[in-house]
Amino acid sequence: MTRIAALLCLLLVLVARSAQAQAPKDSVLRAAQMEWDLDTKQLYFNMNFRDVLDGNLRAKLSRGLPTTVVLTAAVYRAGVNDPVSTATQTCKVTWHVWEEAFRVELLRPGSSQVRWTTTLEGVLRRCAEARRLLAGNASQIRPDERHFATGKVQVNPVSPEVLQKLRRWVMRPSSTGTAAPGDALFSTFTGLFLQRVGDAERELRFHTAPALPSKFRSKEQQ
Amino acid sequence: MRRSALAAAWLVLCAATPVLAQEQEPADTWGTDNPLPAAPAAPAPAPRAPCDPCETLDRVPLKYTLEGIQVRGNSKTSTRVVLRYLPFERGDVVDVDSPALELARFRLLGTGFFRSVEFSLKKGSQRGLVVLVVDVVERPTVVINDISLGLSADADTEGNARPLTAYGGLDVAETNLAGTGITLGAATAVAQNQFALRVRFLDPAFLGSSWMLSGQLLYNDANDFFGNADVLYGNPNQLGRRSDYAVVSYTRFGGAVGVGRDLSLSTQLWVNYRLETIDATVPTWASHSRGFDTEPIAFDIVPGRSVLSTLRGSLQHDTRDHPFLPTRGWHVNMAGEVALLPAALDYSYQRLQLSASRWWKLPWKRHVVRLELFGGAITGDAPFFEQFYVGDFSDFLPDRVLDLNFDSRPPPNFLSTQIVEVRYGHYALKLGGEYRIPLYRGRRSIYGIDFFGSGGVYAVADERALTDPPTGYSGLALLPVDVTANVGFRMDTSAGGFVFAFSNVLGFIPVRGEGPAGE
Repeated sequence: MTRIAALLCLLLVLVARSAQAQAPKDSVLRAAQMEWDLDTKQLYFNMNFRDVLDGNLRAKLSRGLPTTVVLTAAVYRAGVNDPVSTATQTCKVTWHVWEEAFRVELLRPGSSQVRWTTTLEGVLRRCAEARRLLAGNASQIRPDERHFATGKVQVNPVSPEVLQKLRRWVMRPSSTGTAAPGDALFSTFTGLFLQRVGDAERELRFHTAPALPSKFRSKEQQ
Repeated sequence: MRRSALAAAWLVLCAATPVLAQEQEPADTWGTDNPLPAAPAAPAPAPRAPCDPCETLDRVPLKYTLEGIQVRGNSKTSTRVVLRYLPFERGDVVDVDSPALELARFRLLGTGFFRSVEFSLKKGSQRGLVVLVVDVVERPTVVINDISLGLSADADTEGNARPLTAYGGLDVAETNLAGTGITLGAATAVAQNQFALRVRFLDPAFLGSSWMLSGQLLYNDANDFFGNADVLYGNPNQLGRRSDYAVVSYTRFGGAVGVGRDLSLSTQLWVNYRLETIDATVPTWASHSRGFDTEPIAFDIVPGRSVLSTLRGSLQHDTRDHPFLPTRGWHVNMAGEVALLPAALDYSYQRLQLSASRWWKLPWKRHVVRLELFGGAITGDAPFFEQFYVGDFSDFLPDRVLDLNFDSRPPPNFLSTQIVEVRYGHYALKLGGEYRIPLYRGRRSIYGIDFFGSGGVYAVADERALTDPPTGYSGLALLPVDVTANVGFRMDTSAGGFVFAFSNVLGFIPVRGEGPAGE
């Protein structure tokens, strides 16, 4: 009995290490929930990431310009190195200066919806949470096995194309000529800037603990 | 309970917004005093009751008409300089989803004048109008452009070789002079008995136009070292004396002005005019061994006072993804220079040169490969300091800094060719490659460290090397060709880019091939 317990503990440790191995170094463990719909045979992902919008970013929500929050996640079966499925959600929030309301555009695979809200709570509920986000189907998920997710939440990500354009632009800013290419100044100037641009204004990397998806029936809830 | 408290707090915030907007008077705004006549006049809406979702707003567009731009936080940089980088004008329709807004913000950050730049919109004087608010936080704009330190082997003013001397250089600039966006910089280089100074300025928007204007003052008090072996030189009232080198001492003083323009995002054109006076002290006669023969030394400079006047045009195409540690893209530079009257009688020449580099990121471990090509030709009587110098192509000799030549040694001559007879040439060709291995990437003071190894083959020749080669060479040795190589580290930091290379030190290891006369 003791041997079996020890074996189970070892197995748990190995599985946890496997999950850890999939996660990047700066990834943090977050609470999340995976749900398996017994009717549609689909996996859904739920997670709260309101902390990605800190005080500074919340204040900037009402500046009148868009703020984009992007969640991307990969789902792994415990003990398997390659992801079995992916999930993504993009939310764009824009404060309308004259209507004094937020326009929230939520984009998920296969669906796009626009909602208006006057409250910050309404923004956070739509953009800083993943609710029933489709994360896999029967061909990808084994609902009776443990799964975990790794991913990142980015605020105002810069697309690789834009980043590339920026880098070329900033290296020799048009109509500035402040630094000639080849000069060390060229690097001093742009290095500071390019490093700060990074890939997003804020980024949270996360991984979840391996767990069995909870089961529910969507038709019953309807 | 918590949700309702938040909603109540947000209602208070929403209701307070118009009050805040009224309290913050524009510090520096254009256009707001002069509302657009075509703008639809409509009363401001009554404060909206909280709604979630707000069904009545489904068809409201997110576009406004720009009434003005307000710049805040710029205590040093003038508002005119900030506005120069914004591609918006009063009356423009602002689509908040347009990438132009974010690109303009990055463009302002890219000037290096600001630590942070934030855009926001606030209500204009009428419904549908907005004011673009640009909040900036300035940063120090004095930068170190370049620091050079190295070892060389030169000669004293009598031409006696010195085995080891040191040289150094420093280049600093204020890149936002008095908040005008103009760069004013100075550079200096020193070595034993040599000194160089440059003062330069650059106006990135001359008279508010899209043309750039640059200017430079130059002063060099320099020496250069001639002769391969068995050097003998003298002056009219002096017997000939044997020495390691015949030394030319000269001063240069003058300046250059140039205009430039961006032809596209990645292409830039410059035209420069340069005028300088040269005062050279040259041995009246001098000879050295060239191959097996003893020949007079051609110094390629007018003794006494002379004038140099040139017009130079250059076209640059740059698509690199990073200035110091690029992983892809092209960097191509094509330049032509012609001597102009009134000084064309002293130095009448034309020069054409092309350099091109291409970077590729390899599919494994982010390693980077670079290929480079350089070719150049000069016709006419160019002064020696305008010619192609072997040290600029061989990594085993120090490069020139501000046109000062710190080293008297010939190139290593690994291939035992007549390159050992060449110091300056009218023709140059180089084909090289570099392999870079990323070692570190960071986001604080050190952004990246790469190990690099490079190699190449180059040729430098004057006209005589081609038409009247030195005796003692035959076959492939007649080609003035040598190989070069380097290893070291490239480091991209917040203080600039640094290269720690070892070839300069390796160049002091005596592995040089000798000429046929044993020099």
